[in-house]
Amino acid sequence: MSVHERGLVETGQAEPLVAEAEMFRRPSEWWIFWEALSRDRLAVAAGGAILLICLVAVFAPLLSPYDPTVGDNSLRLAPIGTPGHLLGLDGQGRDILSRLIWGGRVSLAIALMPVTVASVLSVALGLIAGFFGGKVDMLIMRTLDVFFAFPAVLLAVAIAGVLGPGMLNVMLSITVVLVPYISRVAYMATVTVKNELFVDQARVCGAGPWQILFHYTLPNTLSPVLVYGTTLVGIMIVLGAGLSFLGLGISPPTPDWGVMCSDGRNFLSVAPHVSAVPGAVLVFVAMSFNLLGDGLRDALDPKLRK
Amino acid sequence: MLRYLVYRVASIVPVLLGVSVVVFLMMKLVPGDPAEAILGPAATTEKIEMVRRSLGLDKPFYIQYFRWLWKVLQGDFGSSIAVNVPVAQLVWPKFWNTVLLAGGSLVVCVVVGLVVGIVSGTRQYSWFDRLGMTSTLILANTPGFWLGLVLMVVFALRLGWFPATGMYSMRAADKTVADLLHHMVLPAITTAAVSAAIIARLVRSSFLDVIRKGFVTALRARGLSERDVILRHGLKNALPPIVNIIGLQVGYLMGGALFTEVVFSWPGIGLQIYSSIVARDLPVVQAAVLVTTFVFVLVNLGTDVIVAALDPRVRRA
Amino acid sequence: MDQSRAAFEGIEAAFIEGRISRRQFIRTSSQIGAAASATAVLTSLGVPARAAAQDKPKRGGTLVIGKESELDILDPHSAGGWVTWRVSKQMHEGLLDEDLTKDNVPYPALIPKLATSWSVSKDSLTYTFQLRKGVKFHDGTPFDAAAVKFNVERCYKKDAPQFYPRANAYTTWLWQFLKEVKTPDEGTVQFVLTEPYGEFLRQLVQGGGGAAVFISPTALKKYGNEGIAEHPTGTGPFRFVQRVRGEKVVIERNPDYWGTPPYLDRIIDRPMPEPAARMTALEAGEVDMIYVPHPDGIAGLKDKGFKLMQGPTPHVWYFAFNLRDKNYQDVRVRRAINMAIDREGMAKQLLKGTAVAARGLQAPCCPSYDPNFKDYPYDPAQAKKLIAEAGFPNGFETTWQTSVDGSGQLIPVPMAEWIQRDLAKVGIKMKLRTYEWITYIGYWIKGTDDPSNKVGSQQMSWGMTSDYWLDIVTHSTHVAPPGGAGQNGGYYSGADKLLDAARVEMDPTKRSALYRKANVKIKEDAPAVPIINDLAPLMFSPKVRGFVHAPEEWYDMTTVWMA
Repeated sequence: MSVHERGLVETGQAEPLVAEAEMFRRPSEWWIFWEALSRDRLAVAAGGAILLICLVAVFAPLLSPYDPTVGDNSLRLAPIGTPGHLLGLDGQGRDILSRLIWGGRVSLAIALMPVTVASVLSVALGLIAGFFGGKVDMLIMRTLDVFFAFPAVLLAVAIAGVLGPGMLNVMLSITVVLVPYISRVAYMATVTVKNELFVDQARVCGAGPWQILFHYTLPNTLSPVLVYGTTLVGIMIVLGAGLSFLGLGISPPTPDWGVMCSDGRNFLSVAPHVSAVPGAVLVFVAMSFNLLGDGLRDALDPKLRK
Repeated sequence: MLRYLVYRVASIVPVLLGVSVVVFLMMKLVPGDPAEAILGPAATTEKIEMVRRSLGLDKPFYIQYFRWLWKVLQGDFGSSIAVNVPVAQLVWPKFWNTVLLAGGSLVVCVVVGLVVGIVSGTRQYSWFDRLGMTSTLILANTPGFWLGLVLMVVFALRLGWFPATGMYSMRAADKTVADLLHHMVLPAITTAAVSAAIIARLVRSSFLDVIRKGFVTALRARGLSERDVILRHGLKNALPPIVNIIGLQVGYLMGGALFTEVVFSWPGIGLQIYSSIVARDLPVVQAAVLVTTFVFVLVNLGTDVIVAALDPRVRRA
Repeated sequence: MDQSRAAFEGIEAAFIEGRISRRQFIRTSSQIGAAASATAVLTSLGVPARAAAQDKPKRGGTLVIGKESELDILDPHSAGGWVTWRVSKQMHEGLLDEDLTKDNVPYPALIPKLATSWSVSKDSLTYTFQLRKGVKFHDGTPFDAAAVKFNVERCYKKDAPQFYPRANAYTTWLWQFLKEVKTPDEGTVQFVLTEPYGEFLRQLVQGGGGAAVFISPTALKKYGNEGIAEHPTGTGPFRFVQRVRGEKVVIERNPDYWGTPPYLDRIIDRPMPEPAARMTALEAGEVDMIYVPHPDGIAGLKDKGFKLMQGPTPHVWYFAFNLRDKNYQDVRVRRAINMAIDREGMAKQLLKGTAVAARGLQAPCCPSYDPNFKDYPYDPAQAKKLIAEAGFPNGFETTWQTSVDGSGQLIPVPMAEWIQRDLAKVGIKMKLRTYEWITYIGYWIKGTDDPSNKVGSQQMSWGMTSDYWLDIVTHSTHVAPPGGAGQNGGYYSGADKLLDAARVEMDPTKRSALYRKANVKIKEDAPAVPIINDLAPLMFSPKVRGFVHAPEEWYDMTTVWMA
């Protein structure tokens, strides 16, 4: 078994993510899950923070105090706490708080969209490969193995670089990089469920392959993908910001947290807050997704439930 | 064990071929005509046709692929568009610079990760544990490029303890190891941070696992010293997943090094990929990705073999 | 001396902040320069006054320079770009040179270099140069007429064994009228032309796109046309030491130099494409000097004691119209666009004073450049009127294109977006198309009306200290294929007659007058919109002394020393 076949996750979980599949045997177990999750205060807090941030991003036009693309040159590089500008201004005299709020839309989109699209694709691929097995399995999994061979960051940068600047290209490149990882998780879950007793029982009772696929396998594949995906969003927020930092993402003057960090490089000594603030926001948001993902995993793992 | 070894080595061949196909196709995705890019100001319609023919761009895809692959296997990666030198000349020296940086980062992240992880794992709920877990949580989510900037402002620009850019001092007549290490400190810490955090958390949880499984109590009951318990038995059992994750981190280190190299102007292959992307010098990007991925595959192979040697269960799978 | 320094710094600040124009700066600075000694003016440009009075130039030291991009090959005949030329020029010399030690002149004067004197025949077709004696190349080969002939034939004589097509492509304008090179004796060389070429001498001192400097024939024969770039061997005050691609180029003082030796022991050029990285390196003391600081970071570095130096350069950033596009056929539309763009605003607010508004298409710092040139005023109301008169009462839609970066392009996208906003105000909806630099050149070269490159206007930026540049960018023979090399691609021929007359005029005063007339005609016909002249800002540590920012895009490094 190779390193990847053991379903390793970036958060360092060494256990195969199969345990979760055991959980959703009967729909009535959902409330057990919610109860477990709500007892994890850290995860709840993280979830709340994420919800808040998403709301802020969605309602950016209403919440943003200033236009993020218009600058007041007389106040450029003003520090944190300048009256009227809570987080200061950047090199072009633009309000940093406003740019953070608007930038959230881009930075969140760069993470959420690719993870969602990749998850849909991956669940499909994992289900097909895991369920039908044989040649189809080999074909799909071996192809994905090839993409696994690339260091993820390198592949993302190379694809985004080759395609050219633009948000769509960045999202496309991140999606491509994610599919192998999420597919693995979906595949493992499918394979495990396929071999479960209750599936055989269902077959004996006359259920056709498509029924088994949709009624039993799919739901059991979704939960590990959901957990993994949540953690991945946190990681992709950082990677997406990295690609924007390198200039591979959106073009100015649209703000995005990565571009804001990169802009600040020109005045690191005189006005470190221009880079420091968006970076701190990135850390906070990524951490929240990470904690939420951990919480989801713990809530779904029967072994950890007391 | 031998069977496993042979199986693993054989399985990388199709993967490497697949990688070469992906890299080749990636270059075909590029918008714009490569012949025009090469000719630049001298381009006319006949010259473009000539260059296209000389580049073999008029032949079908699969022939282009085999020609390209044949050349690559001989070490010929073509010529850089931006600087008119063989790509190999640009790529190999930069590659070794990245290996140096990744090596230094690996040392940092393994040492720090192991120390923090073991101490936290064996002293669960202590202040060290709590501090360790909080800081690793934060570090694991820190963008490398941002951490690099922060370290640069504080330690290079404000305090002046370390240099801010480059691999060696430009003024020194000779390249000394001391100079290299001095320049490597901040970039290595930047690159290693996320991996160190991940390794620390993993080591800790592996140790907790091992402790839970009861070995430790049994061994303690037999009178072994604390140190023996931890180092010989605890570590040995926790080692396979740890080695596994270290192997994975090497890939991250090589990718993460890209951001570090851009921030600190470390003349490695990551910085070269970045500059070449900016300059649309895609033959260089192609070669750099190919070389780095190839090495990554080999490193993974090595890790798998080591893990298999340590953990019999893996071999049976 | 402090008084004149204060006065100078006052107008320098005014100039940088855009409060006075370039011509006022030149005039006033010359006046101050005349009032104080030449040294005072020089030092007040870059050195604290206290130090200037006491410090004498010191020999020794290494200057580390952070450059904005990696260099092209170090073969001066076959490389393009000012970045590379700034290094190659220190190692190679030609018959003539420009005097780059004076920064208070409108354009650099021609001085003898490897030729001690020259004369032109009565029919203006033969140039005779007396060569300097006792000059050796870095590898010991003596410099003589045969060496000159060998070098020139490499660039133009297709049947010569050392002919190099790449060198030929880059040096087209230099040798386009050359019939033959004669060497009556080893100290004399003659160029015979096919027609009079008024700007020939000024063309000989150009660089940045093929240059008329000399490489050791021994080295050329030894390393070959391709290999010579790895072993540059000229006669210059510096000689090549080492090059590590993407990391550094090292040159050192030539101990056997025939002329005044430089003060510096070594110069190390470090390519650092990231402006932020360059500025960080300067601040941390890892480089002594940087080119192209980011406009936003200049104020911060100045606060920390670093010096900014900038001045007029032969650089024009402009857009050329496609005269076959129905929108631009009426001259009123083209004139209106010239009036619609707020150039001063762009120079001040967007470029933070590192550039000035262009006045006319001719590049600054050449003999015919007229500092009093009256260009179109910024008048959006009048522009709107003209556009309506021309038959577009509701404006029109059009596509313009530029690159996203590139040597001398400054910050093309924000600048183009600024123009886009200005055009919108007069009813023109401009769609902007952008490409990466190298891809962009591929398109630009086709001209604006090629089926694969149909645009209303496309942008370029360059220039020369030679008046002939105006011809290159506006003469109809230089239009896109099938005509020629495609320099403006706009399909304009209105100035051809004046340019042809100027080209063969040998009297400098008359020639300047003709080029000025051509420039005025070009303004009236408005086949292009000149926008900005770059001031080539650079920043350096206070330890760097003696640097002169002459009205050229490259510098004489022999006057530089480290405190």
